[in-house]
Amino acid sequence: MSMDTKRIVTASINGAEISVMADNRMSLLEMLRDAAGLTGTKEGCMTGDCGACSVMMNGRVVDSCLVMAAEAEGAEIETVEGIADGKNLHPLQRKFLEHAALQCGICTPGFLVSAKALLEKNPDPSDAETRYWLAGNLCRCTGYQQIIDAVRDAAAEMRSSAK
Amino acid sequence: MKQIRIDAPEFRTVGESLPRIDAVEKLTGRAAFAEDIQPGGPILHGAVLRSPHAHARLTHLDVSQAEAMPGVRAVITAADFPDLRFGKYLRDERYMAREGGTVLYVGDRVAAVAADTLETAREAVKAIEAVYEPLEPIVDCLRALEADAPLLHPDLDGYEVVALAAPAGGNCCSENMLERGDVEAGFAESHRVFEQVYTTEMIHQAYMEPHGCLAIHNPDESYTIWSSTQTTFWLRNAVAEVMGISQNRVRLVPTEIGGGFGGKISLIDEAAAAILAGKSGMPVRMVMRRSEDFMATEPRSGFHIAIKTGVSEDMRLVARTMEVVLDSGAFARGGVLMSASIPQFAEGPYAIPNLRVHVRCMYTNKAAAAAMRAPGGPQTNFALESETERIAEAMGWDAVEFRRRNLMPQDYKNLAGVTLQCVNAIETLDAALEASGYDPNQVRPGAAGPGTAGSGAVRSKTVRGRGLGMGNWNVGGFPSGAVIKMNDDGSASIISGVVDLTGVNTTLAQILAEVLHLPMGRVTIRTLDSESAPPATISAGSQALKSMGGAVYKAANHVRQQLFEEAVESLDATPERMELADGQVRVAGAPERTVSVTQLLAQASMKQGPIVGYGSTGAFSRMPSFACHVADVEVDTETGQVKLLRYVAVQDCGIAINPAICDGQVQGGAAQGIGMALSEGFKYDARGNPSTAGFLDYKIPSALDLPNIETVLVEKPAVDGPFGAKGIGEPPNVPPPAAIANAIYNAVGVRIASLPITPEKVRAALREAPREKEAGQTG
Repeated sequence: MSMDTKRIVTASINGAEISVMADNRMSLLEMLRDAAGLTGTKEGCMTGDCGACSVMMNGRVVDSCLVMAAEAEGAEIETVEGIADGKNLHPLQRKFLEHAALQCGICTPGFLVSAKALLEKNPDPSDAETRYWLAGNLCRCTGYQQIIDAVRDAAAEMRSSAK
Repeated sequence: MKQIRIDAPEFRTVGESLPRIDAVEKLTGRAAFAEDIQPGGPILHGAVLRSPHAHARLTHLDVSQAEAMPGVRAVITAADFPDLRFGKYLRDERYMAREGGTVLYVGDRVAAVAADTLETAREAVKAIEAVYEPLEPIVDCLRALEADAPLLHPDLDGYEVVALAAPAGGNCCSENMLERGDVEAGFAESHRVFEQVYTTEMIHQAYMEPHGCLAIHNPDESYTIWSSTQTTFWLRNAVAEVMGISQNRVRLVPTEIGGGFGGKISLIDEAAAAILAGKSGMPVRMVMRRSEDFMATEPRSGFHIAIKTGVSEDMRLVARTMEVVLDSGAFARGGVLMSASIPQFAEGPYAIPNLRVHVRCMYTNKAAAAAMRAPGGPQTNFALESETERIAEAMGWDAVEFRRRNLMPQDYKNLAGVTLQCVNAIETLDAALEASGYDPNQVRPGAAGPGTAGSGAVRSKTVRGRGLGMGNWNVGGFPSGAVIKMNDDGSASIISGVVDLTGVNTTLAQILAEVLHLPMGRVTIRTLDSESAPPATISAGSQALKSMGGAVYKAANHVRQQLFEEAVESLDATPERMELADGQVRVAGAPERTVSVTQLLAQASMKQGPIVGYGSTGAFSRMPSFACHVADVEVDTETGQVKLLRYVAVQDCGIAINPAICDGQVQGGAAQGIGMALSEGFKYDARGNPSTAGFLDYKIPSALDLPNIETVLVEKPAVDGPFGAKGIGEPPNVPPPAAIANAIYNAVGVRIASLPITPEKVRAALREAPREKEAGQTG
């Protein structure tokens, strides 16, 4: 048990620079939840199978349960807490609300993060492209249809407001 | 979503697809689930030592090494609990295995640790010395029936029955049978008799939030426990029972719950967390790892169903027997509930004069089964509706007409002796035929034509098919009480003890807003803990809306009545002539005679005290909600792969108080049923080791596996629910396996009688098919 060396990890989380004392074995998920107090990111499996812990790291979606906290040194992290602009919901959040695209809500933060990444890459995804992109996020409540509809509707709104 | 409204009245707030009132909290990451609760100050983390054996004697247990580890604050074993067996239906369960006693499944609780970090707690669990003497396990529920099978509960005869259970000796923790008419005479007079065996696998609820809780031992010797549970009160009772303390000493606080589907009803690790908190003097959090959650919670049991059906020449169901053996796992939890309730709905949507349903609920060395969504429904319906199509084809009948002739009529007295009301079977079937464009003449193997064949080098042939499944779930329920607190400005708050699992809080608020004619912004609902809210039912079995919704409806009317009585003097009119609108009580037909609600509230308060509304619902008997689903599939005859192309789900739902929430229930229920049909099965090896304890091996549908699910709500007011609502969480989960099995048969002419219908099974059946056909001709 000589493994418990710790280090300070500094990362930009939702635009704010945060330093935490991280155990070498700490995951990025634990760093966000336990050290930074950002509990919006959820633990669903700790094996990278469910996507509930999805966050953006340097512009890419990652399962934060599979990333070590130490790897986040100097990284830009975006979590569900950073999606809304203050009190103004992001179009994705509004469309999730309008389309009843959430039920229990435990998978919702991961879906929002993944969907936001999709729309940054592809502002006009088809139904099939949206399903393919979100296949790594599991939802047990909705059957996905409302989620797919919400994402594509948000995309349409974001395209028209960008014009 | 389409809505078909039959004699459905219009309301103000009821019937609106309003967004869930908790949506913004959940969309911004602020909603606090069990793993998010922060009591303030340092907390400990708990971990459980679980049996690695399916069946073994615990011969030696020594926790001293774990106790001595730095950072370990408490270690508990059976010795820290009263020496008792507990259970909701049958007192057969030990919370922790005793030295010298047995462990009954891989995951059975042996000891638990609380430590400063989760890492330390898990290390300490490994340091506990537990020695086992392995015993022969029972993995198959049919094996449990055999005379030479090991007895998992040798003291079964001495166990106390609490409710429903009817232990029958051996490994049978409950045996239930209901019978009507004379089935033997019915078979004798039948034109033809059909027999078949269907099997279904154990299914895990696979909610995305693992079980979690946090417990505090308070200075007054009470405990506060936060848990992601479907039932504040049943769980509170179980904790108190296992700890041997009175119920007022357990304050059970329900957190936001990340899905339940029947898997968060029983006591899991909450009592361990409480005892650890008591022993350490610090708050203790316990969150299950996903693998732990898969193996040590309470999945849906697998069924073995032998079904025998006699039909007349004129398409009538004359006689039927269903012999069900169900796998209860290590204890008599939801298995007993199913065993006792299956005979109450296993006739399905059909009227059958001679009928016998016999269920045996068997102990095995697996996780104790619970009552997952529509307990017993999808399993029995798979057999029923596969048989409907199989019989129709053999007889050369139109299967839709065959169904139509046998659907139960209004006021049908079912096998349990209940006169069923709001029997909307025909309306539901018709809506499904219409929505899907179903043509019974096209439903012959291969009639739907070839699919889009695989391209290029892949020598693959795809065939399309379509299948229909008709089912029902009969919603009954337990009591609830609701309090409505009127605020001085006329706004209102509901105090509820029912957990908001499916959006029910939004619909409850809509009911209150409707009765008191308030805008939604002036209505609040709070889900409170077991010490603060009136007793309430479980959020399960589609009953929360009928039970708590009925209570809220009555409580709101209680407020209304008190306001009217207070207005008698000011308005010089009797309450019968009054109406409530826009914050005013007025006399019908005399709009100038009004008095404000705020004035009445103030007046009443000064005279006899604040106006508070109370309403309650007693237990109610099971009334049916029907569902009819149509699946379009494409089967690859080389690989056996089944792809869903289109899915139509029609739901008889009474008045939809919030259609969007109903739609969500139908979509999600269908999706879970599709998973059960095609990919899900919680498996054990021959030694009883779980082999699918993760999402990689236990395959729930992803967004790629599902088509657009087209939903139709058939809204015909029910007589027993608030504003004519029915409970609809369960029924959409019932028809998918049969609808999909029928579609696969329609495509490729093979009938798969065991779930899930994996590519391996389809491919094997296609290779067997010619022989099967010959056998069929001689038989």
